[in-house]
Amino acid sequence: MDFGSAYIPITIGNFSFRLTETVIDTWIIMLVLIIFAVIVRIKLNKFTEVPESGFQNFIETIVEMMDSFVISNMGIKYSYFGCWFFGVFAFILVSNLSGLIALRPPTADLATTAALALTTFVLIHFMGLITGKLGYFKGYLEPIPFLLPLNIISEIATPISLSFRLFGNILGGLIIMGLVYTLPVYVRFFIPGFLHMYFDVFAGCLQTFIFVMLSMTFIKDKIPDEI
Amino acid sequence: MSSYYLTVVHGLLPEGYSFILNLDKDLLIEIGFQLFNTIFLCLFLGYILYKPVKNFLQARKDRIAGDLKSSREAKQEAETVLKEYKTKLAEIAEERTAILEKAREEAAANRAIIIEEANKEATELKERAKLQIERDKEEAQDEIRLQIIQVSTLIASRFVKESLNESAQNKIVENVIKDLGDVKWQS
Repeated sequence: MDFGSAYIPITIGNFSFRLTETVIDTWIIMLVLIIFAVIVRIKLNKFTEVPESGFQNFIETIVEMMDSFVISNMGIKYSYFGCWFFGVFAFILVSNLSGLIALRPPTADLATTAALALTTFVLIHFMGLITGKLGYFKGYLEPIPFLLPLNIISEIATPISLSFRLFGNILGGLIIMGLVYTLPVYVRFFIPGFLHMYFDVFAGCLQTFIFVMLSMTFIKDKIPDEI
Repeated sequence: MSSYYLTVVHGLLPEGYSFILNLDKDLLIEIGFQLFNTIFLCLFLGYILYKPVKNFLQARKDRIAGDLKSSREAKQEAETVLKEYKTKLAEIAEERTAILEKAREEAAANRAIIIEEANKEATELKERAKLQIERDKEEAQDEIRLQIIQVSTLIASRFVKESLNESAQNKIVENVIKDLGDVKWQS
């Protein structure tokens, strides 16, 4: 049984790499999201003062929700992070739900989740550095300098835990669904629907929420409290 | 091969080349691909979708807040103007009452003056009329007295011509005049 990501080995001169199913699925998802964003951007000029269409209501609702989500986690001062996390949220959510349309979720590949966790890791330490300055380095020696190695390990563990949590959950769902589809046809006539609801929709939304919320929390934790 | 997700992409890729997790240099290359894809997509969505919509919502929020603020100010101004008008109306009502009261007092005073003057004039007219009557009465008395004298003189002269001398005649005339002086005017 094969639950892995298929790939085409590509060699250009001395350089060889794998063009994986994950990357192709990501491009499909990117294309869908980019088309959607362009449609929204075009329709934005026709948005009315009082929302009249369901589409405008939907767009306003998701943007308002994301804005409130960022503000509640990071505070009004850092609400500009919504610009970044909206994309992260949309990408992870659509990736997790893509199993419903017979794509292998890109988030079921460590490369995707590691890339996402890496961006969070960079943001955590970038924000820590520009807001904390010297205090950022001092933070590694707290509560006692002896704990410096542990603090460094804990910082490195953050992106690893973030990426493996998402990767493991989605891959787990994918494997279970794959196993269910090997059952006799009269059994899988009823069961997969419920399991898709749980593994793709429920777990997909939940893991998206967890990843984004943890990312925000980690970044906010590195920003020193203002007096 | 699992069957549920292998329809679109998986079926097109060559069999035998697949993996779940390989910690090798290819994973790093794939992470690089995904890093580029993720950053590009997130920035694109952020700046093409999220930010313009958020700006639109913020502009609307600001506009509503501005409208509410100006409405509150207008309401406050209207309330102030209303209060001023009410005060002015109250003042006007007070002034009107005062003016009416003054007018009534003046009218009453004028009425009293007019009545007094009318009474005075009437009294004067009455007095003048009385005097005139007195004068007319006296004139009439004098005229009657003169006529009586003339008539008496005429009678007496005729009578005396017949029987008396001049001294007796004069005596009689004087007596007559004296008697006439005692006669009261009867109108």
